[in-house]
Amino acid sequence: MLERVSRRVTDLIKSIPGCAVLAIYVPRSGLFGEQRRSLHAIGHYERRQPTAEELAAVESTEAVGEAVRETADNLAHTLIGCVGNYLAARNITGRIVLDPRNKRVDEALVKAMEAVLPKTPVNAPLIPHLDAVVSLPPHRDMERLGDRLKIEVTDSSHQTHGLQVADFIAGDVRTFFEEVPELLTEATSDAPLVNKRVLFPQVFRKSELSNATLKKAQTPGKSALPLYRAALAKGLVSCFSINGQMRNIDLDDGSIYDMMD
Amino acid sequence: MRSGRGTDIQTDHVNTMELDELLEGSECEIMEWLRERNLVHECDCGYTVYDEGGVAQAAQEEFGDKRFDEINQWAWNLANDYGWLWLDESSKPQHGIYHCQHCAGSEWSLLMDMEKLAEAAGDDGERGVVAAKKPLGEPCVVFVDESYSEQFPRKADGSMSFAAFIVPESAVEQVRQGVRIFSRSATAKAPSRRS
Repeated sequence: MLERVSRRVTDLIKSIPGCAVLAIYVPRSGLFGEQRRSLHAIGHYERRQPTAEELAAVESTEAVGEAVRETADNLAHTLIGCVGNYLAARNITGRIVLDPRNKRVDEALVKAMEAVLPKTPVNAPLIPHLDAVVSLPPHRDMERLGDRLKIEVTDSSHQTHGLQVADFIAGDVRTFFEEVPELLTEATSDAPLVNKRVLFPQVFRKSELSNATLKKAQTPGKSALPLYRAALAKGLVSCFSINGQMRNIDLDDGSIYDMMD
Repeated sequence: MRSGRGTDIQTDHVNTMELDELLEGSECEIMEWLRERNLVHECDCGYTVYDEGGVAQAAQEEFGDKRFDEINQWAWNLANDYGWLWLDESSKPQHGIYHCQHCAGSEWSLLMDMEKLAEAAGDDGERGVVAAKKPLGEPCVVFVDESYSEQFPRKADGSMSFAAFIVPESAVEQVRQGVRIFSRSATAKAPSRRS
């Protein structure tokens, strides 16, 4: 039955010109790994090693409790920021529709997003350079998202159909990464990716998936994502690697764009 | 040795030389022959750069390939003989960007490239006018939902995902119809976000 739903959703996605899918997947190890990487990266710039206590605190009971409370909102921020950039690059305005959870949590999220979104830098140039993608140094006059993106939480039945598709895709993305775990382990290490340039900040380091993994990722299995990958925004799917490396993966050519820590 | 400036100026007059004259020519004579064929350039650092394969190929096309090895050896040795550098593959001839192997990959060369690329972008339209902004596209609705494993992130091996489904406003009704059709035909639910 799930297979039939997958097929129908895939057909629906393919039938809508101009529709796009953005998705991000985070394994538990990646969630905490990212925080450890940040400590190492900060240590690199401050010329010191993080202490054992600092590293241990990342997965302390208290920190896990905080992650339970905040991870969903943090990832929502990340994803919506990506949506804002995607729309700004196309000069499109948009309205984000979120699935309701509980009023207090939803209102806090919307309020926080409304404060942050207009200031989000957009259309920063990304320039391929050797094994990296570089950008221009941040400056005061950078283009911002402004009022191009509104956000709302809805229980309107008219909107729930689109949310059902988003719900399906979110579940399907988890299935996809569980089927191709190599996407989380290839071309990554615990060493933080730090900026070594002076004039142009590196934004991403580029590497490649193995041919075997790329082929596996392009072959439909329990997940239908390979079938609708043409709808992925910029052809990319995003994840945290097993050790917390934030990465975008191009499922067409196998390029991995690892974000600098 | 720092060599003369390589430029991309092509003249109407094409130097006709015999192969022996070319292979035994002076730096000036060889440089002129290469310039006429746009085969020698200048890196931003000032060094002369050339593509040894391209030079050998041009010589073979003009003089035949009977002395294939000799021509290849000559082309290869221009670097040793005159202190020229090899053209790096990161060069972009269509934008007048030529890198030697030392500058390729440096931030300095990227800075120089960006100036040339910006000029090229300006040439697409009225000079000095930044390319017009894309016309405003159709507004869209972005449906966002998440999926996570039980007790994420407390339990080991769990995971979470977020998805955004971006739909042009005019297609929202199509989504509604599509979902209604497969909701009716499927008795099983799509994966639950809290499954």
